[in-house]
Amino acid sequence: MGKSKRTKFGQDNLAGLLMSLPGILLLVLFVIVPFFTAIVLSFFNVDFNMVGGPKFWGLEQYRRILVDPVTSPIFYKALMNNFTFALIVVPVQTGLAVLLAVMLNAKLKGIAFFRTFFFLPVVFPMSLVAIIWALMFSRDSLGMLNGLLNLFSFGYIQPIDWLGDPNIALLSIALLSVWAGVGFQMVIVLAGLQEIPLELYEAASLDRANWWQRFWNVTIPGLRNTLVFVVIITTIFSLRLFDQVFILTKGGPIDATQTVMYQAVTSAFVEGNVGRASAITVVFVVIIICITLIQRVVLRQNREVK
Amino acid sequence: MKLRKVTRLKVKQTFAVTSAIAALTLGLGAIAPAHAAGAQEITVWAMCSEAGEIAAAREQVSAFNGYYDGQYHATLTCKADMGTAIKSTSVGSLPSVFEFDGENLAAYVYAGKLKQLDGLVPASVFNNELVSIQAEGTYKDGHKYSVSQYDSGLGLYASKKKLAAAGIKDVPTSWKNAWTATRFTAVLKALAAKASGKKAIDIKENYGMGPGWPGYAFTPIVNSAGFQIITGGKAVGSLDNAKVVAALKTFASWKQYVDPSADDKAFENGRVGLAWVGHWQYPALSKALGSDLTVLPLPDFGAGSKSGQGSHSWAIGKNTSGDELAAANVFLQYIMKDQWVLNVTDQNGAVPATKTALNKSVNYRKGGPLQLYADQLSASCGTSKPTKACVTVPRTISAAWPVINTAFGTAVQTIWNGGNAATALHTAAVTIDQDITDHSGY
Repeated sequence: MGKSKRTKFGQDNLAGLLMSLPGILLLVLFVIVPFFTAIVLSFFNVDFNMVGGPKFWGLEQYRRILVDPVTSPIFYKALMNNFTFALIVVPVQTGLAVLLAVMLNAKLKGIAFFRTFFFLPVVFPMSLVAIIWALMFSRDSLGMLNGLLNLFSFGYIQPIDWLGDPNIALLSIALLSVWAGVGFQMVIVLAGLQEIPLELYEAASLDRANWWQRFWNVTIPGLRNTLVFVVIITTIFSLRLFDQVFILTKGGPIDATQTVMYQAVTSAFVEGNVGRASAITVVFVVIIICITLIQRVVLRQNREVK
Repeated sequence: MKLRKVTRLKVKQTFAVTSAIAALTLGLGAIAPAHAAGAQEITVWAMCSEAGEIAAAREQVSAFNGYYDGQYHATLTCKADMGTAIKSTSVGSLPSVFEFDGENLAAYVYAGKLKQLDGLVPASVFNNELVSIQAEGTYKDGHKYSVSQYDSGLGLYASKKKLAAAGIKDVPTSWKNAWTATRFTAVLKALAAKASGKKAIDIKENYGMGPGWPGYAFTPIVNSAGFQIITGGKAVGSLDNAKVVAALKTFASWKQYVDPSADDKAFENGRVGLAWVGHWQYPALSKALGSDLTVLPLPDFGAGSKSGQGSHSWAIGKNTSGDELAAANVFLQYIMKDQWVLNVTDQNGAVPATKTALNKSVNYRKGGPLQLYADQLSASCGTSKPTKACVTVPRTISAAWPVINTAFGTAVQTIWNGGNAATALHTAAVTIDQDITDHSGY
């Protein structure tokens, strides 16, 4: 019996293996191999301009990133910025996505147009979005945002230095990121909404539930799994923050928009310091794995309660 | 069943079209090399970002191919981001000849990517180059590694009418009588008072105050305070010197008078009376302002007015050898002829980098509207400590330049946005020194 079971398992395994082979191959080639290469490189003093090959440095790169009094503060600053950004963007973007999706789920004529319209920013490359927003964020009264605020406040609100004020710059980046990204989450939530059986709404109506009660007791529980996915994916996206920063602020003003990704990429491709970039990446991956594990534990508990 | 048939037919059609395209491409590919049968092939990488420079690169390559028909043949490849291309190409895969941003010379020589040119390119070619360019192409070993068709000019553009309207009469006539930083603050204040938007100057904040633009445009502030970014192989004590800190603080205090120029046209459209920018804006500005436009030296922070220098350079890949090397050498000499130097500078507005071409240039020769730039470049400080006797300072000729550029740019950005100048410059200096130590002094 054991034998026949093994054969059966083997056949399934072969077909399964063959079908998953392309995926596994790509994963190994583009995720696993580079990651282990990064771990190895992070122990070396190695860069693009190196003569005489890499030198083994042990944990020096990590010491500089995590401990050194002059060079480590900027890494912690970047990490803090990443978390602040995620704390702003994840709830705002998820909330906004649900709001938009509920609105665009209405059975109206021409609703497809509006759905496309709100999805459009997702299609634009971030570099394009950032350049357009650079014009809107201009710190003088000619900037579009400053002009609008000035107009609607009857001249009371003075021009704001959106990208130059250390207290505002990260919020500005968050604002444009939400605008550019919310359409993606909206589409996912929209699909989730259409999965909710209409009978539930009918039953709720028969119970004389008002709109708000239906939203809170039917829509939100119905969207639970979708929302879990949206929150996780938004968290990952926001931890990866790079393009907007690279184009708009270069990590400034006064390091207010430094992010871990920005430091890793500029270390490698601007300064040519591959060792440092690898070490930053390794530290960051460890942090992200921790976050993912925590999220999984929290979500599993929720499921058990249900 | 029917559906499947249709699909198959479609696949067949698609396949036919694809193979037709493939055949066509292959066919065209096969024709190209035949064009220059028997000629020595060289590959040329040019920097292609500005329209005028792209055109000039194509023109000189096709002229070269025409002139040496059957003998040499150059194939041009355009690179939008040459810095990344060179950095990520191994020595063996480099082209025969390539153009690059001259600020990276030391880094490339250090990485063993450039061929030594003295003893190869005739001395007459180097001697004809501007002093500033000769300095730019020389590595610390005293050898030459590049030639350049043009140099850059950095200074102030001003509207004569706006200066007069603000009651400013002491307008500098040469780099020797530039405004002091203190006087410049007063000039900005007076200009801002008369301007409708209460701004006085465009420093091209829109180019980005982070790493990049400051390395070229605001290093002269460090130099004008009397220091190089690095002195004797160390940035600490030089870049974070009290005089440099004071100079950059003064610079940051001008922010209130600076138009952020999100449209890139604060000066061109008449919102401000001054612009702190390079030669490349001249064609547009002279068209917009006409005879109202004048060129002035940058303000003096204590050790005389200073300016930047350096632009694109040409070099030969380290592994180029034999007949290919001979052809590459001929190519460099060909594009350094006045005709081709002027062809590119006419299109991008840059300073011709050879003495003979400079004399023929309408804009830069004696009495020309941009003579100031040529004067500044002929008074190069080289690598010695900046004094009142010289003006242009090459960007630090060191393999650490990429790190210097990032560290300095970040510091300028911090200071500009109100951060602590002393801390920012010290952090930058430590970062630079650490990189130099990491590379055993390069």
